[in-house]
Amino acid sequence: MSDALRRELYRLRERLAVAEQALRAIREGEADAVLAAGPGGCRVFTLEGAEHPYRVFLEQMQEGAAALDSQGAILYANQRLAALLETPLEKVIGRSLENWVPAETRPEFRQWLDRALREGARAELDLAAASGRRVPVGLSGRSPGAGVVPALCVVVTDLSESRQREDQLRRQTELLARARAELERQTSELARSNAELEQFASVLAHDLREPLRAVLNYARLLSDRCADSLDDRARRYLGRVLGGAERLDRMIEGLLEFSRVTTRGRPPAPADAETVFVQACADLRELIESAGASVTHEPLPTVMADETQLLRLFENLLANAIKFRGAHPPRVHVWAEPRDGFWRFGVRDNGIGVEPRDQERIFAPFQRAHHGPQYPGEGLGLAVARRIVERHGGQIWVESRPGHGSTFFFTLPGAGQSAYEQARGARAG
Amino acid sequence: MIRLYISGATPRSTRAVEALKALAEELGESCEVEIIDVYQQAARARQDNVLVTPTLIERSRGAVRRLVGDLSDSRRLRAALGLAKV
Repeated sequence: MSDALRRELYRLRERLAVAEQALRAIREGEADAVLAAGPGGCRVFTLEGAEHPYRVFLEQMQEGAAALDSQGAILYANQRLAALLETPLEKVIGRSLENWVPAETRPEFRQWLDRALREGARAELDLAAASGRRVPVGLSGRSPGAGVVPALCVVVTDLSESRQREDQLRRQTELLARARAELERQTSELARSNAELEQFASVLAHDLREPLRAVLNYARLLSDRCADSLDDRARRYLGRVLGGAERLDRMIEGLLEFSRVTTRGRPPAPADAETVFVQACADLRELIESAGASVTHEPLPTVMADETQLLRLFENLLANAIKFRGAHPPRVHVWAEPRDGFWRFGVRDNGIGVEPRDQERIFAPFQRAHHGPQYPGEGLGLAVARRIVERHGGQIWVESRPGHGSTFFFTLPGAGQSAYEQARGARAG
Repeated sequence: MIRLYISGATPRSTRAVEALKALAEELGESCEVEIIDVYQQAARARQDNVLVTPTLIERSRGAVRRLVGDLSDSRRLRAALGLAKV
């Protein structure tokens, strides 16, 4: 017999022995699965139970799964757990799970194992992967019953991602808190410098008045009592001096009023806009009649406002609507409608209108869109109006097509909402 | 080198793992054990010509010893591993 034949014979005998051993094991019930080589690779036929769906579930799930004995030794593990521990699966099964528990979390791990065996338990702790990397995990274990093998079924959830998200969230929250604190600091800084500025403006206006009064008084005396000793040219110049001084006086008066909107304002209280509006019309009766204007309005609501300032607001807007009239007799219409807990008021006129480029500018102090003797004023009416509206938490703006009139809108809080806020404030206090 | 082939968490496979684990502890560091789940690592089973599970394979000095079953018979297990009776 040739060496080749002898080797072949030996190989066949060996295979036969393996096959016989396998057959005997199956006959005697010692095997629980048979492996068969096929075109698609090796297939496994389980001899006992219809466990297939459970097995697929365990093998494919995104969490680590293990069956432990009562000492914590791993009798079965899925690939996900092996990947989490950075250890080949064949080095995971048969070893104790404690091998991957770092020393400092071992007491915690043992406590969990004890409780899990008795009544089922969860724990969150760090495992140490083969590389030494700490992996935060959630352990959830439960015993299938006394005397059953395995003693414990465990799901191991990798918490790295959710920890990262938590950290990120915490960092963002901290950032936000810091930004907020900075904003609050800047806001209070701004409020302080604003208050200082207001006080400055008020003091300045007050102090400017004294010398101006002297100029005005003596100029008037000069014009009333000494007119005879002046020639025409001197009288003309004196007229200019008086005109300029009176205009300066009106500007200072306006500036004082402007600054008093915040310094002398009273706290908002429920105010009947209807009554206040009728009062404003009465105050402006002379102007309305001399302009031949018609002023109409729809029923107006109760709002939270300083009544004196609300009156001023209506007066300024009405006077404006009449003052900037076009070729036709002025027609002014006023109405209000609810918007998001506020009332939005509209004051519509048929006047000359406002160019788009001026629609923001006209609300600033001393800014005027139209000049000339037919439009007297110091350019403070709308500035005061805006200050009043903003002090009440509202907004004011104009919509206009030049030549087709303007509509001034402003918003004020409704009395209902503020009553609610007051009640809330009272409870908190 | 000792290799145990198992098929998932079936009763005989888990018993075999337990038995081998106990023996490995007894033997200490001296023996290297690999436990292979044929469901998840089928190619390995083919290399060792494993037909059924659980199968224990022990290789030393070119010789291959096999034992099929749940390894609960410690006498047969020790014989398969070439260990003397204690």
